[in-house]
Amino acid sequence: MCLNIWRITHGPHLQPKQKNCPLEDVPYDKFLQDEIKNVFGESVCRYLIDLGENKRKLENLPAKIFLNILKFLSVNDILHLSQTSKILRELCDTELFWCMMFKKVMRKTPSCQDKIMAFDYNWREVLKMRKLLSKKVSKNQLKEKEEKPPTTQEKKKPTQLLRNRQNKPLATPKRNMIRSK
Amino acid sequence: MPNIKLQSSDGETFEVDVEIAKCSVTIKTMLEDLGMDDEEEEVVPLPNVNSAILRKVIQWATYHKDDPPPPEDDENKEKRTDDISSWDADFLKVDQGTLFELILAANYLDIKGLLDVTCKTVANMIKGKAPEEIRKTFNIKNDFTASKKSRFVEENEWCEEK
Repeated sequence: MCLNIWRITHGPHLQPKQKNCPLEDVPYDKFLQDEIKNVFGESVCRYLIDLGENKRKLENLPAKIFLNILKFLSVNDILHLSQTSKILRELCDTELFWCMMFKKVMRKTPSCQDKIMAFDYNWREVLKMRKLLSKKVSKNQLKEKEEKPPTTQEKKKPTQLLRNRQNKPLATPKRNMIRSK
Repeated sequence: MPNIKLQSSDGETFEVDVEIAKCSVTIKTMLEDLGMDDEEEEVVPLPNVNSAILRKVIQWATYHKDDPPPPEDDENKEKRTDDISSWDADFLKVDQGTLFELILAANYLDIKGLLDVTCKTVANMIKGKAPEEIRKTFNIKNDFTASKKSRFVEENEWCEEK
């Protein structure tokens, strides 16, 4: 495990301090634990201690095995699981995870175009876009058998979605609270 | 039938029928690559598996030695989890620590059948449960603040299946 500590000072500016520690030693290093608790919170500290003590828990499983378990779950079950704690949420937000979700939600292997788009953006955006698109298509199909939207239009979409996502954090609940006070 | 010796991480050796040991792809490749399948008394070290878990794995492999090879995965289909045989279900009535150790061992030894059935068992512990119930089952501490939780639900509700 490697911890970079970068203290904010008015100057002279200091180089970040780096602390390396084998995972097995984390349970005994009180100083390191406090440092981690301060920055990352109690749960991350607990997680690292569990890893150091070699405790087997759901959230300590290697990512590949964790995904293998998720393969047996429905999308809704996975969403429930990802709401249980921050670490599980993190485990459910990797590129590998969203690539697997693509196969699950769309019920097909991603096409070449999907893969190229995922390379440019990320799997989550590709899946989101495809899902919205498929909803639209199925609605259109109900009205009349229309052709799929041209590919140029498809390519534009991810940027829009990305922008929306980036804008979101600006309107955090905290800000609103400050204003209301 | 020729036998082979497997040594666990804590030094215990187990003598197993070669055919049973070969249900582990890791051991099978090791034997083929190193040409260890002659008369010599060789010991295969398994530094990632302790004796308690190795005993369980051998027990499982012995029972399943005549099984046909598991079918290839179709990634796009939702997989069933209700097809665990009653013997396997009984075999996997262990505490969570042991269950996760078995998953890790099955992964390391590359035994697809055992990996599938153990992962299915864990999946069944999650299936159809609300987040709070899942936390209880796996002893997960809820470290979300209320606002963060709802934001995550909002962010990802588009992929929910109704």
